[in-house]
Formats: sequence, structure tokens, C-alpha cells
Amino acid sequence: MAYFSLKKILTSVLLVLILKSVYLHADDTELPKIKAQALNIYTTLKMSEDASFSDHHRVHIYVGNRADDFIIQAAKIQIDENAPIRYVYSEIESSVLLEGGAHEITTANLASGSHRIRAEIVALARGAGPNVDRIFPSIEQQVNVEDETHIEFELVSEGMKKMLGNADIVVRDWRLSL
Amino acid sequence: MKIAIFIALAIAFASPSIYADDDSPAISQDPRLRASYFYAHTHRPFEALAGLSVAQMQGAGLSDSADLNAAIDTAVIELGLDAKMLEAGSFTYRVTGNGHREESPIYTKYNHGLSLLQSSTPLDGVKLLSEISTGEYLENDEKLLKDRTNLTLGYYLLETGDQRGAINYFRQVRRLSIYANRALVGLGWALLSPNAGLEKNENSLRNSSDTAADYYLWSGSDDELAWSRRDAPFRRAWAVAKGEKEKDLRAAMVPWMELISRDPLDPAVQEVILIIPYLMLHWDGQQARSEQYYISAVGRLKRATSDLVTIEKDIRSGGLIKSIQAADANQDNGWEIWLSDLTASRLGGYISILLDTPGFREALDEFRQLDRIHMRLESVLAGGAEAASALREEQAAARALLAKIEQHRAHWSSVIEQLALKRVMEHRNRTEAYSAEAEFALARNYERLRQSLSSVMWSENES
Repeated sequence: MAYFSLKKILTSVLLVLILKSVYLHADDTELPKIKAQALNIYTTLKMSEDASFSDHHRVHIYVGNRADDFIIQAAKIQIDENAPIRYVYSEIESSVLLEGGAHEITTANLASGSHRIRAEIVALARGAGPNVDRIFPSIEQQVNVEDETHIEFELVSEGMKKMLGNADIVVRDWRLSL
Repeated sequence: MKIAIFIALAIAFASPSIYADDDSPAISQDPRLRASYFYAHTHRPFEALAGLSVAQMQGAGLSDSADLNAAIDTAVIELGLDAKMLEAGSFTYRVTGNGHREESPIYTKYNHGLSLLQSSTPLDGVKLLSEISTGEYLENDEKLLKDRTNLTLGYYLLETGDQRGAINYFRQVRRLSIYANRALVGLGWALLSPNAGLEKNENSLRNSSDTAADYYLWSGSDDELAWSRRDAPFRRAWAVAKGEKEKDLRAAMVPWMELISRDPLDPAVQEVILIIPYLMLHWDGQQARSEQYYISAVGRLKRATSDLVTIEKDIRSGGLIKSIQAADANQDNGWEIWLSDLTASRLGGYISILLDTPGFREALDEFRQLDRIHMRLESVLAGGAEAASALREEQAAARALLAKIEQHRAHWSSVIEQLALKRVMEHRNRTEAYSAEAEFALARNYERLRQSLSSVMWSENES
């Protein structure tokens, strides 16, 4: 005949209860609601944050790629004399850039007035082997900041540059209020 | 000289002006929408949707681009959201997809083939699986499934005695895939009798004499690694490989020797640590080396066990979660660098032995997503400290939400830890079993030595 210990029974009942609570928690439907709420609150706060600076303005800096023959491997942005911001792109990311996506590499709060922004991009010919030379186009640009600004550094390879297997960076300045 | 001037002029004309013309790229002109597209396709759904929502409130019109809409769908699905919930909020977009990821048909094909292998018509399964094996694929997951198919077919044919077919499939598994080590173990066994299966008629692939292998049918467990050794060709304890057989043995040693120095936590490597001395025992003139291999096997397996104990302690003290968060905090790189950070900072990398645990990836994804949302909300709260006091209500709501997110994050981190601990325990049990087996084999060798000290040898009357 089997021997039942009260302690064992209590332990197993407790274990079942604990496991049940874990599983009840696991298949919750609360999580999507929380995420949707987070999205709404985040948006509201973000909007007010953008509007709250009077003497400073938000400057969003993007990196994009319109040179079909190149993939961007890395980018470096330096605003005035601040520490440069670097980003290394993964394979998926560089292909999304090529499809027309833009990467917001940094967002800075800048005082009204003129600022110098320097951008460097490291790019590699598309479909080329690892021994092909990379290109390092760079650009330095004075930007006048008076409002929330979106600046895009885009890699472009057209005309003779394309024929010579090279590319340039162009600056696109998106003033949303315009 | 003239040519040089001409080229210089041509370049000057052809290179684009600093401010480019506005011809339209594929998705939209607006960089905010394009940034959302970028985030949606690089597994950052919260950022994608938040960026889109902010852009919309700032007055950006949603473009009719099908690409962008598809990207938004992807983000909504990845975040696990319900489209209705979003419509109730600040969003005004329609989800065009059906809310499910579309699965590639080769997964269904693989599962069907696998079940056919275990049915009464296994040849249909072999046919179906070999169709996958000969296909060309571009996606990483599909290539991985192809490797797995090759491995499955290899072990199936090895079990049924068609060694030549098995060699063919094992050789197709890519060298750096996670199935490579298992394939190398199988390849060694198949090379041990490379010509078997030639004379076999396809219809008699599984005849009654093969039923011994039935208990070891490929099941995705580590067992398929071990059955080949237990079912090895050296049935008689003192069988010795010589001549032609020795050549085959040398050929089989090549893939195994490749494996032996790899990570001793890998089940395939542990298996090989035992296979090699076992074979040496049956290899003419190599018996002494067999003992050395067994001694080193015992040492390595014991070290592996103590490593697993350290890993277990690390997980229990929250080290796994901390290192995932620390690796995720690195924002200057788009590569999934957190994976390699985790493997580099520890003794040989323990995330790699956890990744194939069922449910681990889902828990990890959920945890990392919540962690990101938490981080974003916290930063916007900190950044907006000086912001309008009119938003006090929203700020209080955000703080309450942070507490809720924290609660869920804690839940998922404990799920990750439980799964990891369970997996580590499985590894520990297996490693201990292997270690015991090595010690037992060593004891058997010593026993032989002891037997040679019998009185027959030392009898004074002999000479």
C-alpha cells in the first residue's frame, strides 16, 4: 500500500498552485493593452517634449541611401565640436536603407543659429567581394536652425560619379513647417 | 592634358548639387515616415509605430505606399498588438494584412515529410524531404531548415543502412550552421562503412533486420547522436579493424577529429569525445592511445560539468538578465551584437546552449521588447521634466504604466531564467552521464591491465 505523507501532498498542492499562477500570468491579454497605452502616452509626451524648448530646437538627423550601387556600412555625424556619433549598419539595415528607409542616427537639441554638421559615410559597392575598396564620402555643411529641423544625409551616385564607381553625400533639409 | 580637363569638367557637371532635386524615392519623401519604415523592418516595432504616430500628429499625411503599409502591418504584428486597440488611440491607420505572419510552405512540407518517415510509407517522406534538400533558398531560416532536412535524411539513411546516401546528405549541411556538429558525427559513422547500401534495393530500405534501430528513431533529442555508437559495428568486444577496414576507420576519423577540440558543452562534441577512444580500442595498434583519450575525456567532461555549475550560479544571481540588458544598451550598432557580447563575456558563451530551448526565443523577444518600451518611456519622462505642467496627468499615467510594464518585464525575465535553468540542468545531467561512461570505460581498461598481472605471467616454473 502506498504511503502518503501530508507534507508531500501539501508540497505538491502548493507546486500545482504556483505553476497554475505562472501559466495564468503567461497567457495574459493585458500585455497588448499595455503596449498600446504605452504607445499613446509616449506619443503625447513626445509631442509636448518637442514643443517645450523655447531657445533650443530639436534637430533630427537621418542617414539615407539613394545610390543603388552602394550599401552603407557605417556613418559618423559630428555637430559643431561635440563628440561624433557613430553607427555601424547591419546587413538587414543597409538593405532597408537601400529600399528607401531612413535611419534617424541622432536627435540633438541645438540653440537657434548656425551650426556646422559634418557627415562621413563608409560604403561598399553592392554585391562586391570583401577585397573591394570602400568609399568614404564626407560633407561639411552649415545649417541654420530656427525651428524643429529634419536633416538628411543621403548617399547619391549619379552621372559621372556613378560611371567612376563613386558616390557623394547630399544634404536634404526638411522644414516641416514650410 | 585636354582629356584631363574634359574629364574634370564632365565630373563637375555630372556630380549632383549639394541640395538635391526632389525626385521621389520608393516609399515617401518624408524622412519621419521613412524612419518608421526602417524601424519596422529592423525589428524595432515600438519605435516604428511611435515615430509614425508622432509624425501623424505633426501633420504628416500617410502615404498610400503599399510598402509602408506593409511595414506598419509587420510592426503591429511583431509588437503583438490588436489593430482595434490602436484605432481607439491616436492612430488613424488601417491594418491591411490579416494579422498573421505568413509561413513559408517548406515548413509544412518538412513536418509532413518528417511524419511520413515514421509512418508505414517512409519512402514518401524521403522523397518529400529530398525535394527540400535540393531546393535553392535565400532566406536564412529556410537555409537552416534545409540543413536540418539534410541532417534528418542523413540519420534516417544511416539507420536504414544506406551509408552512401547518408554521406551525401551529411556533406550538404553547411559548415557554420548549428547542425554542422551533429552532421559531422553522423558523417563519421557513415564513412566507417561507405559502400553499404549500394546493393540495396530502394524498396527494401527498411527490412526486418533493421528493427534494432527502431528505438533510436530521430526525434530531435540528443539520442540520435548516441545510438550510432551503441549500435556500432564492433559488436564483439575484441574486434579489431585492419586492412580495408582500417582505411575506412581513418576516413571516419577525419570529421571526428575536426569535432573533438570544439566546445565540450555541445552534445555532438561530447559524443565524439567518447567515440574516438572507443574506436581506438578496436584499431590495430592504437589501444594505448585510447586510454589517453579516455583520460582526457574524463578531465574535459568534469570541467564541462563544473562550468555548467558556474553558469547555473550566474543565472540564479541574475547574471543572464543583466548581461542581456547591458548588451542591449549598446546603441551604436545595428548588428545583433548583444548575442556575441553575451557569448564573449562568459566562459565560452552560454547563450548559445540556451537558444534552442523551446519557448526561449519568444520569452527573450518579449522581454527585450518590454525593456525597450520601458527605456523609451523613462527617457521621455526624464526629458520632459521641464515640460509643460499641463501634462501632469499624462505623466502620472506614464508612471503608472511604467510600474505595470516593470511587472510584466519581471515576469518574462523569470520565465527566461526558468527555461535557462531547466536547459542547463539537462546539459548537466547529460554531461554527467557522459563523464560516468568515460570513467567506466577507463576502469574497464585498468581491469585489463590488472588481469595481465595474473599468476600465469609471474609463474617461476614457466622458464
